[in-house]
Amino acid sequence: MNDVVRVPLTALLWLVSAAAVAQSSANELLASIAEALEQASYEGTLIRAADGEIVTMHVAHSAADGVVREKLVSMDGEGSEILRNGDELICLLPKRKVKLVDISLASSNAFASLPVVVDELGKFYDLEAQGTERIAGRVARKFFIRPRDAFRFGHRLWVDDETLLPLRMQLVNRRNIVEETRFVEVTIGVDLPASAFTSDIDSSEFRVIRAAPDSGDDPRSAQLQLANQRDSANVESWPPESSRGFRLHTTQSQRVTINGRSAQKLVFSDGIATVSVFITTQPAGEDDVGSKVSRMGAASSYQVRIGEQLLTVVGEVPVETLKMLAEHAAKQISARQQPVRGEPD
Amino acid sequence: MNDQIKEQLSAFIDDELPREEAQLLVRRLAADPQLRAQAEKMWAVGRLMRGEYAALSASRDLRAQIMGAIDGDPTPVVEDRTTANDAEPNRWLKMLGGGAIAAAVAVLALNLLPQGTQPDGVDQLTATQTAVQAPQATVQTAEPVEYTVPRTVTDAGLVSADPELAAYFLRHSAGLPSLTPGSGRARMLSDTVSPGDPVKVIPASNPQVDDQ
Repeated sequence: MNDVVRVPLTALLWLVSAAAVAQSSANELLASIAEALEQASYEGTLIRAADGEIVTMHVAHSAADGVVREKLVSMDGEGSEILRNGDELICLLPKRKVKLVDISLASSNAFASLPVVVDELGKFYDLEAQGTERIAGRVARKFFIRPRDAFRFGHRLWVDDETLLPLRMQLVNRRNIVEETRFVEVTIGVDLPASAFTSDIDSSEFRVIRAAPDSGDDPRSAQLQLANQRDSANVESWPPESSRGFRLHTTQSQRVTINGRSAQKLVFSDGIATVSVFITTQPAGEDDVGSKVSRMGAASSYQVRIGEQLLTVVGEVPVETLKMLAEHAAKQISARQQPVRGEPD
Repeated sequence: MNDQIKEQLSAFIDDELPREEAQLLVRRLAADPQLRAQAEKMWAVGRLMRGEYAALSASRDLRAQIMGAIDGDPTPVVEDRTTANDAEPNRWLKMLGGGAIAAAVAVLALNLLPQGTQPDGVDQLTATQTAVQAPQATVQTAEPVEYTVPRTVTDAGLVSADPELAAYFLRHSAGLPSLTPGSGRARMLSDTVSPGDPVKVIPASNPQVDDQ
């Protein structure tokens, strides 16, 4: 490693001398990365390692004529595919002959939507510019977004010097790499034909499962809009600041369907890490254990019952952070004595 | 897999297992598909973290080479996997000769092979069998800190698998973009192909969780 320099995240990118990174703030770096992720055209092979598992994927991405198209194909296992065409997301699981369709999943970009506030970021992270390395045959600038406390993970980023597309990412805790994604080979700026975004799988006889069944075929139905309006009213009355820098992202309060039940989803963020809080109305069952922790890859969840409300908090953060946010949400629910109620099944 | 085998595997991968034990382990690997799969993962993770991409790229050419190797000619695969970091191959590979190399190639090949290598009938989203413990493989990086692939949940700490929770994780992941540290859709995709239980439920008081 060469030229390791640590600065407050609020200072910054004069350390990064490349013309491609002419911005003067961490905000702008993150925004530029997000823009590259969304707007650049690229094709390549990437590897994701987490929780002792490795999956190799092929990705094609373009944003021609304002429409983002993406095709992600697993090269392992059953050869699943995820296809994005604008706001529609399709997941094909050939072994199970299942086609998942969800128009509410695709139009998200965490980097672009995060409530990034430089001063707040600077309280909880430092940015280290760590020189350059070659990743997938390209020159990449390496950054370490180092957390200042144990309530969040660190992020190592290797960003393409020319385009700012992330070529390699690591999520790290104090000792371990929690998750890593990296390109093995990539071509950036390629003009991809339409055929690059069509499925290679014959799904004509697949069982089609559409998300958001609580609102029929159109998740933007009147029922959902009413639920969203009520949720938004509830959310707006919540204190924006919870603790340890995680803020409620009010604009992302939304209704989602989880296992056939309608749930309110709240998104908290410290500007980099994102935590989802799902609130459902669900009577306690016989096997209800009160609270439990679970893991899936790099993400953890903490589930706790508050009366008839079941809170499920999920994020790529330490479990203590999930518990903290669950307690925060529980306090808000209890204080109102008028729980946020889920829609009937 | 018990701790002794895990330690043996780790030492094997790190080229620290005595010759006799390595030979025994290779024989056991040849006879135990589950152990081979676990060894491959530990080995592959170590290689990944060291930046040895070639072994994991799983390109069609590599797949073809591996298939050829299994059919009787492992040499090209081993050579193709060699990178600058691999200039000095593991001692056990050199020691054990062609047979071991073939076994090692087979180990490498197992999870690189496409559909068909997974046990039939396993629904990975709804599987309820005991989760495989994540390996802990010491890896070498250029960083000053020694990193390990995260150990997550011990068999002893595992209560049960809860496929219903997978929906929450996927809903969370879906809100994240691909290729970011959160790896949104990349995570969604890999979660559909990873063997074992999608969600591992552990007691809230389990201190190992806090190590994440």
